[in-house]
Amino acid sequence: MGKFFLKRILTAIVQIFVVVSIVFFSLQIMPGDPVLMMLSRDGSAVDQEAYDALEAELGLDQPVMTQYTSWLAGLVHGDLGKSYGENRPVVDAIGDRLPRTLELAVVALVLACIIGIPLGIISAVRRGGILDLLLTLISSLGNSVPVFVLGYILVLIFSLNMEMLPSSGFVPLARGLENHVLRLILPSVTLAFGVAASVLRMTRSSMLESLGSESVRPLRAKGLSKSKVYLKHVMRNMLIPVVTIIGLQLGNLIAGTVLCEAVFNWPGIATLLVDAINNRDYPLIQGCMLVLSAIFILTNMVVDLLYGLLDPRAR
Amino acid sequence: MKMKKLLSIALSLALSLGLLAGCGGGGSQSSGSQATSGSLETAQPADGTVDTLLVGTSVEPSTLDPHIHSNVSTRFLLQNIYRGLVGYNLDGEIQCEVADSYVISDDNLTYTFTLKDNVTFHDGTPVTAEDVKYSFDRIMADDSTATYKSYFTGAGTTVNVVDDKTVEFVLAEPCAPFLEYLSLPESAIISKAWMEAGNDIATSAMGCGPYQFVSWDRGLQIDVQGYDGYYKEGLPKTKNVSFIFYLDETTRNNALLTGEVDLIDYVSATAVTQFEGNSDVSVYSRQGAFMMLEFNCEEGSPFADYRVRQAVAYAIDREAVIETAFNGRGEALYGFPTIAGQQGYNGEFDNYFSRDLDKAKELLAEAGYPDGFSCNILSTSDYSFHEQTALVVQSSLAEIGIEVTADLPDWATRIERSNTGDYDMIVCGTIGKILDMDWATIFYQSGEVRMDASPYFADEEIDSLLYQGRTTLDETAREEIYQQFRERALEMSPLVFICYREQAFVSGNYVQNFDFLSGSLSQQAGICLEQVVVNEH
Repeated sequence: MGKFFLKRILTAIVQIFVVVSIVFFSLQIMPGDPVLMMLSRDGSAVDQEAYDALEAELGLDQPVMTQYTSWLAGLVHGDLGKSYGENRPVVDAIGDRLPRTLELAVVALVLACIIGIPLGIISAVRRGGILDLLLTLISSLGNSVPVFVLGYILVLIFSLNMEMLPSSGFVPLARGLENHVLRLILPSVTLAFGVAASVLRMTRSSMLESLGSESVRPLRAKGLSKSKVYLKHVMRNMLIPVVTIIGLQLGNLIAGTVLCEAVFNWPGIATLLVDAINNRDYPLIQGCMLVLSAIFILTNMVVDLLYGLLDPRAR
Repeated sequence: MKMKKLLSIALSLALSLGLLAGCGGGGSQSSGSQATSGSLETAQPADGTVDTLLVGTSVEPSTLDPHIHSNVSTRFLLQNIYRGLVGYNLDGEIQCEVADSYVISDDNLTYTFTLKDNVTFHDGTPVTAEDVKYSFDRIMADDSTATYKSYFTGAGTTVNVVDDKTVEFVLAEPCAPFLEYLSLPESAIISKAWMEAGNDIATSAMGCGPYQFVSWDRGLQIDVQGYDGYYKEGLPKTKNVSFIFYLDETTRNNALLTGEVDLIDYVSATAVTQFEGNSDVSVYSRQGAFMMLEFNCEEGSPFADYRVRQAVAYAIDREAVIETAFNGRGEALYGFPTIAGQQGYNGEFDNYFSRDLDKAKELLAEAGYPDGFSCNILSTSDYSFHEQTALVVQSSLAEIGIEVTADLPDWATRIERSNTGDYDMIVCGTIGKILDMDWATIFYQSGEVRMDASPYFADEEIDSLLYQGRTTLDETAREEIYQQFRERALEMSPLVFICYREQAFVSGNYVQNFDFLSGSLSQQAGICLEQVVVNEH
């Protein structure tokens, strides 16, 4: 058991190391120049001396391998370097933005569960009925409509036409709970829609599976009431795969908030990464990629470990 | 540190649950509160105005260093915090700002400025001659990253402190546009004491302008607050300004429509057309930058021959560019981008070129390319008008046998390649940095490969005319020199001009006194914010 855990954790560490190394070297190959993006985003002539001065200041005149080893050395000490554009440690920049993305992702995930699980159960119980058909239709729509399309449609309806909710933006909690929450609604609903669809489908199929399983049929034959069978026995069986899906979705959600954050001007880590790429802010790109890939790899690892705990065959 | 992060995560989680409870309970608290319109402190003075202006800006600054001109949006913001010795007013004239008066010596080599008595930095300390010297020494230092460093070093400038309130600039040779260099927003005066106290000018700001820096909430907004000790009585009129970063154009436009912000910048031609039919908003649209092509004139390239460049100038369908890239909003440029009336220009060369495919083919044949050739055009897919311009040029040139491949990388790649001259032709949207005709120097002078100029283009006559223009002070003589320059520039055509495009802001109709000038000064819209009033809405 301990060996299995150790193996999974070591694998995760190696995976993260490989990802950040690939990111580091692909940034070196990627065209574009952070110095130019800082000195002249507009594309006006840059003084060569000014260019050289800033290049030296940022340490970009060093050989690539020197930059790589010093970055790795910093990483071991928990130092991700300093962002060019923000002129402060990458850790601080991410520390500001990651909680906002987590907030959005967690709210979306909880919403998705609240919507997806009950509807999935209804769909399974009423299999073949009109309601099931309708829900299946909506869930395939949820899986296929891109986040930005849905986002703009919701803005059009709820902000521009009905004037019920703000169209975009982010207000820190410190500046007012109400303003904060109002601006959270549209982006989290937008993000939740696709996930809810996945959760609904997974709930429906695993509910059906568990309804038809050998262990359930005798219970009814034994004379237990329908509701008792559903709530106590069927639900317990069907929740395991659903929980797995939800765990995996969290990793996807955090990486997948890019479009949602852009549409709603939500200043999370995804928009931070996109800006960093646009400005070729290398340390910041590496830092964001490290954190995002670590979240992804670690959630997968945790799911693996849980499976290992629950099901000895998976070890 | 870690604790703080954990706490914020925990808070987020707690909040999420709170929200869910709200949803489950019918969510009654959300109705009717839309009128908050993003104004966080909605204190309203009795005179019917609001004390906060919310600006939706298209770029989050990468540095707040006022000596670097990184982009127009950042300059717009910094113009509220910093001031220079002199600056433009809204009539397009240079007026004294920090300076009270100035004297230019008879030999035009010494500019002596007397500073206003009542100018103070935002920390309350008076602006002295030492600060002025410190600012310009910083711009001209060896390790300086200042954008307009070479303007000052090129003129051989030394700055001397005469006394506490008097400072002189001594030049090595006369420089006609020197006052314009000083009027650039990047000639800002910064505090020596503040800098020496170890403050970071890239992430913080302290000047002597109408607004003082309050905070920079990363990824979100920069807040500034009116400075009580500002040297102009009664200004600024609006107490607080927040610059909220709205990078996505559609989101920015929606934010204005829903009242999340009061003013937005960088509004595209398509959006301007949509906004114009809406009585709830005011559209401010001025002729701004111009679109042009630069050519790689390296030995052996077809574009090394001026006749090929002229052929391109005759072949481009400028009206089609305006129609497709700018939604019909813009003005074709068949000559040189100087407006008649500006510095003695009589409009003589306004129709130097025309759309004439026969003439273009003739020129190509003369240059030895009767059947055309193939080449690439560098543009970007990040900005649709850059892409559309490249595509129209591509199809125009196909008509005279030049087969063009469009390279459309992202903006950062496009910038790097333009800096190293890695292209045959490139689409640029740019503008002179100053009003004086000397703006053309950076575009036409021979020298290192750089943005804003065609790589490897060199013409002795042009170099000499530009030098004469800069160092001659007699206005009539200068008009003559620049007339010759324009003719030569069009004949050589290292740059082929396509059209002027518009620079546009849009505000709610309750925003008053917002204004900016056209042309090169459209890039200095920040000067008007000190007088903007936001009415109750």
